[in-house]
Amino acid sequence: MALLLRGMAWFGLYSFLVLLPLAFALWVDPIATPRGLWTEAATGAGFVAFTLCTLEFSLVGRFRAAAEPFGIDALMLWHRWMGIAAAAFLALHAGFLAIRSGAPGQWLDPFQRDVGRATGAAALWLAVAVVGSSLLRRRLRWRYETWQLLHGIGALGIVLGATVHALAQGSYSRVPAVRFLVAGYAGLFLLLFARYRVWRPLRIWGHPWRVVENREVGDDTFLLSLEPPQGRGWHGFEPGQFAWLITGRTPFSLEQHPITIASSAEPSSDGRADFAIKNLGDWSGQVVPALRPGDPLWVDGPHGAFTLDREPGQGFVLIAGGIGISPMCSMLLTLRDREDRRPVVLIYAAADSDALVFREELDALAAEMDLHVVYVLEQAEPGDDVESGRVTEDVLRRHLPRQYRRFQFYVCGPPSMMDAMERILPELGVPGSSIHTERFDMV
Amino acid sequence: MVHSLLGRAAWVFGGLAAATTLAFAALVDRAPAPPQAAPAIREIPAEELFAQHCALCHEARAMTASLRAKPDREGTRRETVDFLRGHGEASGEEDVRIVDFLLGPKAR
Repeated sequence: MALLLRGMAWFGLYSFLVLLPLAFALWVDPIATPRGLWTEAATGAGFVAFTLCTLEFSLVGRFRAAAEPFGIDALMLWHRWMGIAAAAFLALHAGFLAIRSGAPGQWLDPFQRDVGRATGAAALWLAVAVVGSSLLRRRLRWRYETWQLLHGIGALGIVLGATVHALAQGSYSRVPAVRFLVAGYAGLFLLLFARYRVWRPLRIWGHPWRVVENREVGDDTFLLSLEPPQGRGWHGFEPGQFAWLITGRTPFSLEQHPITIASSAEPSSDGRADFAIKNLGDWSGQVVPALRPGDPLWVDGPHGAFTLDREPGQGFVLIAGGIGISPMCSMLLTLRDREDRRPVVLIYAAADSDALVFREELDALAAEMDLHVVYVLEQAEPGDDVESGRVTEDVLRRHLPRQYRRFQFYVCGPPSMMDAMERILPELGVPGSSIHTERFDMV
Repeated sequence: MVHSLLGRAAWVFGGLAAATTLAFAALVDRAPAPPQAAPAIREIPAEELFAQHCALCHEARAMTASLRAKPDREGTRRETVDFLRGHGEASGEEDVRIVDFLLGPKAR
């Protein structure tokens, strides 16, 4: 309940900040005679686009207090949607002005001599490029790090361009209070940007973690064991949470990826944390396999709301696909270490038996706790004691216990599986509030 | 489940922002006051007239510099006023005030 209220408060603050300049402009209203609906709609769309752009960093800046009620992955998804919305409002802003003036070219040319209009047009085209490259990164075959660098530079350019445009061109920004407000939003963006890109890396620079072990555990997956710096370990994490692993020479490196913790959340004497990383190309296929014991890397975390510590339940159903088994491992190991007696059903889907990682460990856990493991293989071999095909409603009905509606459901896997579970589970009568998912496959 | 709701929530939020934008436009673009209450054009600052009729597409400083760079100021004044009669939506009196604002008052 407290989390829900905090979530509502944060969302209320976000909505307030998005619409504040509109209300403020309406209040000061320096235009004495009407300029026409198109012009004023363009101004309004411009204000909304500007605030959406400046607030984008607040969504992905890893603010624990703001992320806790929603989960960082949910905030990232919202960042994605609001980025598209900001580009749409920018296009409406330019479009309405073009209609009003009857000269579309002058609102779209970023190389003209008029600084106010040129910066506005540049911000518009940059927004189109930033949103387009995010939606098409895979098709463009950009490396994640390359995309991230260009995304950051593009975002900075959009906000700077939009700020100069608003101050130089805007009719409302002739009022000093509006200029102050516009500059305040731009300042907030720069502050958040500096916090994310400068202050955070500086804070952890002198405290790298060390690789203790890096071994392949099957299906092109590496289990990376990390040891915290002396006296700077985590003060606990929740099972299912993740951290950003940062490799490279400094924590300013762009090689930073969110990886789920696979080890038990119960405190251990050495404070080690394990991360299971599947080779998906790029960083996970080139950098991770080359890590050797003693190598330094930086850990930013723990983060995430995909954890079984926040929801009361009579038991748990964990549905994993592929490397989505990683948070489930952490949850199971934690339940075992806590001697939690609540029943757990693990449904683990993979392409074939070779693609199952941690199978021996899971079977051993099933003997130690009230755990029922169901393997679902797309290509099952005759004689295998597994379900064949995909995780369907029939598979779930066969293996869910009678009182499953009172259980908490955790789903982590490929997007198609998550989509299917978000459709099937409510059809089986599982309340939406008991279904928890985590997605990071956004660009 | 949060994720499937987020897409719908984003559409609702975007729709509300668009509706607020239109409401803003409608409120700001309110109907002009009755004629008896409207200030005479000579009472409206020329800068304000420029902002209403020209600033959307033109920058005052650049316009002033370009007009004042021409050698025959009075000829430029006449040409610009004539041009404005067929350009934009300002009245004749407003055109004169705007040109005065850009070029400086007419020599007596």
